[in-house]
Amino acid sequence: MLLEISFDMIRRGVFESPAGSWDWSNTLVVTLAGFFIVFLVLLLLIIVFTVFGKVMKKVNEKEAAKKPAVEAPAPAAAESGEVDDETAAVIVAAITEARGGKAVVIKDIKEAGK
Amino acid sequence: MAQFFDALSKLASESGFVSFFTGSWQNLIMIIVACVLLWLGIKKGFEPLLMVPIAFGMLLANLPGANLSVHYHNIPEFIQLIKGELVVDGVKLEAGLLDWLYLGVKAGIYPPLIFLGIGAMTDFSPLIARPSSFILGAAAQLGIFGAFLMAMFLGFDPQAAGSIGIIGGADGPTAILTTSILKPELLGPIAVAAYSYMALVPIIQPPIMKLLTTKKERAVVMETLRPVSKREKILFPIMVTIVVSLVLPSAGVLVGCLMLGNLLKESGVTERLSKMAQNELCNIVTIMLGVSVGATTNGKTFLTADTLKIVLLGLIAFSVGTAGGVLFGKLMYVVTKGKVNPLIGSAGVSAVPMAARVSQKVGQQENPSNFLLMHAMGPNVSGVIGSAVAAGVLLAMIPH
Repeated sequence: MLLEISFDMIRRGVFESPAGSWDWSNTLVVTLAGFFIVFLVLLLLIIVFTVFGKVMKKVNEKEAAKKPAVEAPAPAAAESGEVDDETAAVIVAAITEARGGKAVVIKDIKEAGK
Repeated sequence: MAQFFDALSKLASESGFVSFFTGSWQNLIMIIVACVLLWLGIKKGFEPLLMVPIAFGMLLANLPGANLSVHYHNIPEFIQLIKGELVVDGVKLEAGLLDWLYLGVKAGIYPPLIFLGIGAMTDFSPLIARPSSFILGAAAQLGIFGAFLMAMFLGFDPQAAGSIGIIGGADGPTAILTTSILKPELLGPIAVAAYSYMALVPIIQPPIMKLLTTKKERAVVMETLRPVSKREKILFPIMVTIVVSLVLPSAGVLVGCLMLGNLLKESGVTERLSKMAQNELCNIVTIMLGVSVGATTNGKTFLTADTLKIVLLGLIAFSVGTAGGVLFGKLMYVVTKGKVNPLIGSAGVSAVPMAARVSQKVGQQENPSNFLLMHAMGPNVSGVIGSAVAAGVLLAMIPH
């Protein structure tokens, strides 16, 4: 809102001067203030999302601490060579996410398929 | 027999071919330009999704006698046109299909709808994981304001200079929306220049990136980004919309639509809407936008010295934007003590995901095992937000 007010001031005070003409000072204002404002808005987003990221990290850690650990993925399937450990881990992670982060225990790859 | 030849003669004199030799030679040149653009789009793959409709619209607009060009630049003129009261060069004009389609451009409907589709296709996780990427998206907007300044030096009025500058944002819908508000007369050349340069990103950017960085900087391997939770992905579009729209209401329409599209995708409960925005909606609007913008390029108004200046300034805008991003990337390299590869800065010029791919490609030339793509996607999607913000700034500051 403050920026919007400053835009109005720029428009009324500089661009719509009594002479009603556009001179080089207007050009410089648009060039320098324009770039500065873009920078300022994105800088504000950096601050907001840096703080947000830190808060979310703590929230995620707290939630993770409450959950039981996810059991080693599908050992039977991995042992039988049906899928490798890495693939089984990916499947477990996907299902965990799909269930809203609720930890799952998968004993068999067929169960993972469901 | 004489009547037969009279009929043939009359037919010939009324045909479009004759018009090329009786004052419409500019249309003939534009038809050739349209064919070249079609060739670039189809054969060379230069932004074909928009280049092909724009070039075909250009072709239609320049067929003498076909009455297929867009006849108005503002809403009052459109109202005159549909009332049958618009007269140009002594000829009373009638509204055609493309006049109606162009209404979506003039009323600022198509660009935000395309942004909705882009939002539904975009993954903002790299930006959420590393918010400092926003700074690179801002730095790359330097080209917009640099080109604005140069356009003023070259004698363009502020509205035209603002429209030319926005080419540097490397964002077609944003350029079209800004120009349709500030200087609709320049919509054709600006759209063609913007999409042509976006297609040329892999050619324009690498020399600038290599010129401004050292081998050591280009070889930097960046740390893996942290995983981003679903909750963060859902909250991100809501928060960006609130913050940007409160600070800069004039950017709200573009940023709001971009973030709505992203929320449809990330919420996980509106899959049908997300798919529709990504595919049907985006495709339909792209056709209407491309053809109607192409139809504004009538030879008599397009073939001027100003068009050449716009093409040149567009190139400068792109180059300065790329340089701005890389230079801030270098600054981040210094500040983080070598943890950030400056090459990701060039991706701040929007042009998703081509600019990020260029960062990846140039990085791999120095270190084949280096994968910069996901790191470059942060500045890349930040550039989309940055160019929408820059458009909002220009619209707020330049009287129109």
